[in-house]
Amino acid sequence: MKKIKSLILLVAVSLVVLILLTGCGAAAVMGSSTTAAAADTTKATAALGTVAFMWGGFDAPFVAPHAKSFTETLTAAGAKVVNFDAKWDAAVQSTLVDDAIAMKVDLIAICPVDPKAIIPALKKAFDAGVPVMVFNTRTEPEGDPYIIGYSGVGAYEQGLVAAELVFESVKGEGKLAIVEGVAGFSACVDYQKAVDDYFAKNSAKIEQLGKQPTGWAVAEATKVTEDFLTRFSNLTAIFAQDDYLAGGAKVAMEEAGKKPGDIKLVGIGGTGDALQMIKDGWMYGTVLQSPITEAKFEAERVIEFLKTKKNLDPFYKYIDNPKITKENVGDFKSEF
Amino acid sequence: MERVERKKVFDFLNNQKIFLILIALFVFLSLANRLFLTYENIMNILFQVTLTGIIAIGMTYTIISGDFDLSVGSNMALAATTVVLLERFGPVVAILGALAVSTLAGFVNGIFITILKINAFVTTLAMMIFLKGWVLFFTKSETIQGQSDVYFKFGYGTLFKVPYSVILFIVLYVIFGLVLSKTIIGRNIYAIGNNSKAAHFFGISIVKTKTFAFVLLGFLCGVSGLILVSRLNTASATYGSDTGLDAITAVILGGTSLSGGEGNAFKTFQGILLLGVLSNAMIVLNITPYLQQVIKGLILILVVSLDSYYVKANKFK
Amino acid sequence: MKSNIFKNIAKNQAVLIVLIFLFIIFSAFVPSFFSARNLINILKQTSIIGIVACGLTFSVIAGSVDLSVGSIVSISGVLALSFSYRSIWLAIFIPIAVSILIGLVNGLIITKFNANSVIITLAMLAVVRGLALIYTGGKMVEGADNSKFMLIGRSSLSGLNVYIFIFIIIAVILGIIMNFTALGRFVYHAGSNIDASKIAGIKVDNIRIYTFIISAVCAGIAGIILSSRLYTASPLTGNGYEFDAVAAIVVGGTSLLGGKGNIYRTVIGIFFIVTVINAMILLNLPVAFQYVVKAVIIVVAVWLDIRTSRVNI
Repeated sequence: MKKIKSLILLVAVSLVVLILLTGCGAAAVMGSSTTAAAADTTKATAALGTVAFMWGGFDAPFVAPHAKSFTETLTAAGAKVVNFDAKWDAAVQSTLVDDAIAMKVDLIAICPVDPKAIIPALKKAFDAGVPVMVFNTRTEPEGDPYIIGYSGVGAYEQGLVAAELVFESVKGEGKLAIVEGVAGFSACVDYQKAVDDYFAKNSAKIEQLGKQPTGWAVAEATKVTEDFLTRFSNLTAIFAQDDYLAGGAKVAMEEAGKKPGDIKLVGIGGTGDALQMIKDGWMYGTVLQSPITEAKFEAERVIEFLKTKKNLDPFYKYIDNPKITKENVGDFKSEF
Repeated sequence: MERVERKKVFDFLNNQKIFLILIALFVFLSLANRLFLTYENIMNILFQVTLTGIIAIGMTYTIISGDFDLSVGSNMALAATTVVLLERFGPVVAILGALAVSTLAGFVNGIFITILKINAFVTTLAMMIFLKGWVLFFTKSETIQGQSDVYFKFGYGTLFKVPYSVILFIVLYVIFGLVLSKTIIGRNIYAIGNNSKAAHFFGISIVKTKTFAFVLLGFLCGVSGLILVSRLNTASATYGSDTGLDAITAVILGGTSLSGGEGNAFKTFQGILLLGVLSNAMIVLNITPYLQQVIKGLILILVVSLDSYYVKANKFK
Repeated sequence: MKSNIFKNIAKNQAVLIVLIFLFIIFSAFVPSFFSARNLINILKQTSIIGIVACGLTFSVIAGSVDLSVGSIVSISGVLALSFSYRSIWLAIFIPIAVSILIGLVNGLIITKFNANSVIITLAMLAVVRGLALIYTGGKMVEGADNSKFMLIGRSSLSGLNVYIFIFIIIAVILGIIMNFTALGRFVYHAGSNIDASKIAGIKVDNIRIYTFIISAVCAGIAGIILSSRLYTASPLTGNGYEFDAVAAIVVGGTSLLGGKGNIYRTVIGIFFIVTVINAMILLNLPVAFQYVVKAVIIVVAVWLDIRTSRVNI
């Protein structure tokens, strides 16, 4: 009995130590205060206000640099940021909005897991007098009366730039396979619409042979591309819905003995990896979406609201979607 | 005399330890953040735990009978999908359809475990994958949305400022808590959990009893799915991915043993409350999301280990 | 007499026979299935999950199940890549060491407290993934290009990736340990009848701890190979591997109750699942059906196994 007790104690103590160490490390990364010093949380020491920061999920690789940049920009302006992680569950995100309302935050900045499902929660916030700004992923227009504005990416517009890249890369004619993020995810639905619209408008003779979802997992992207290469011997282009997936696609192409440029690969994001792949010729191009720049842009809109307390003008504001190809790849540096 | 009294007090406290931990947490959190002990926040917590809490009632039955069910999350998503898809036939048909489908899934689980004798882990794992596949198929991998707003009235309506779903949640706890402790089928569930061979010799049908537990769990997954739709008016294959483990955590946190044969619904109620308060606490204390996951996992490990250790130790008494 | 022998072989090798049968059908009717590229793809796709499944088999035969392997793959991958900048030996040694530690913790908790392995390892799955997220700060880790470490996943030998051979070697070694060594025999004993083994002097608890370490180390190796091949590692890698590995083991004919089965069966099981899914992709069937078919295969295989083993008793 004694031995077990000391064993438990030892395990518990070492785990607590481990957690504290890694937790402090995480604090530096996330840029927010994680000290459990209870007293701190009773008073909002920030002059500008408290912002509830709700990403769909904090475990996506894009989110970490975004969250850091967002938090830093706001903290520097005198605001406090509280993180809410919905773990990509729409129902959980709904309840997190409730929590933020109960915490009487000054603004909710939310990237909805599901642009339709979040609307009742937005209404609840509106009725409770808590302003909401949507970022990164647009909600459905029915939600507009309840929010103060949208700042972020236009997924459809991004998709158009990507479609343009694909079109250019095969000179308007070819056979395309799409490595999809998550089937039904709002951004992916917008990308597909953009691709279809662009090709139709420019009378592209590009045949879309297949599309497979990957759950944003790189290993899955490799597998999916392997299978594309087996099924379609005359593939000329691949559109990967983000640069990490494009990296996975490249591995499959390499292993299959393809040379850079045999199949034109287009991605979205502008990761350091992608920039290198463009230089090496594996990727034809990508669309820049720097989480750091995006976060700063969105944070500044939040600051604007906190200072003026008026609905944002313009209501919708999008960041640019510059396209990166071999010609201008030297102008960009690897940020994430 | 003194020793016996001391032991009685100790045992009483030991039995109420979850309740005491809850009180302690309440006190700590109210001091840590004045916004914690507001009516709004407490009602929020109850509102949040409703989905998992209702499923945890059914999970209590299955765990007492000796097994757990991993398919509950997918089952809930199935119910949500069904009610949205059947919407055009009117709310009554849609609701009944969803409940029927979820109950059927629970029934199949029960049959496979008791008659085909495939163990619960494999059966419910396979069912989880199976149901997810069907939900993906019927939703075409998207989030489908209901056209009518009729369910919102339930989702966001209140009676004396208590949300309808919370009222339903409490009513279900009372009803099925009583079924578990006061009816014959309830006692049979304890019996087969304690010693299934002995129960069998006493004439208790393991097939009927255990299947009942899984059928009830399936039904409650259906109810949860309906409540989900009443809040979001959408359904997607991604719903419910953490629900299974959370429900099991709630039951065990409450003090019901994984080895079966003991526990009750009220304990589970405390467990689900505790889970809700912990999640809320971690948000209020602004603990980084990654750490929250680690803490929840560690708590589960701690509670399960201590629980099975005491079971093992008590075996030799 | 002859028919009895055939019947026995059929019962014991049911999965293999069905697999061969399906293979022939697919080759005939599924476009591009019977091509060198596709067959190599199947080999590639089975290798990584196969290493995980073979390691997990030890745990299962000893009567427990280790569901934390999915996150061990990811934490091992991120550790490997972040150390790939320093030296290839650190990049291999540190992930393996961490895997051993995790396996040890799993084993200790489950044996000393007699705790349910499903719940404990599921909880550990979340904990390890959380730690991986904390370690990387949620970001993807990129490996050092052109380092020696990359050779693990990237090099090939006579047209086949080296890691396919690594899988084969590991499967053979584990198979030998399982069937021809004392440790292997103890693993079977531990799974089949704990009390009798305790009387016979075998320390069942220690054996089970070893099996957790083996399954964790195999997951660690899989993580190293995967991250070397993709040269990125995400804390989210390996999501779902634990269930895929269990599916492979169960389909192959190893019982989750312990005491029966072997590595060979697991290998057949993983090939079975990968081949069927591969055919479904080549036939352009919707992704939803992959789930449904997987579930059906699991249930049918287990049910058949239960029926045949009861008859054999």
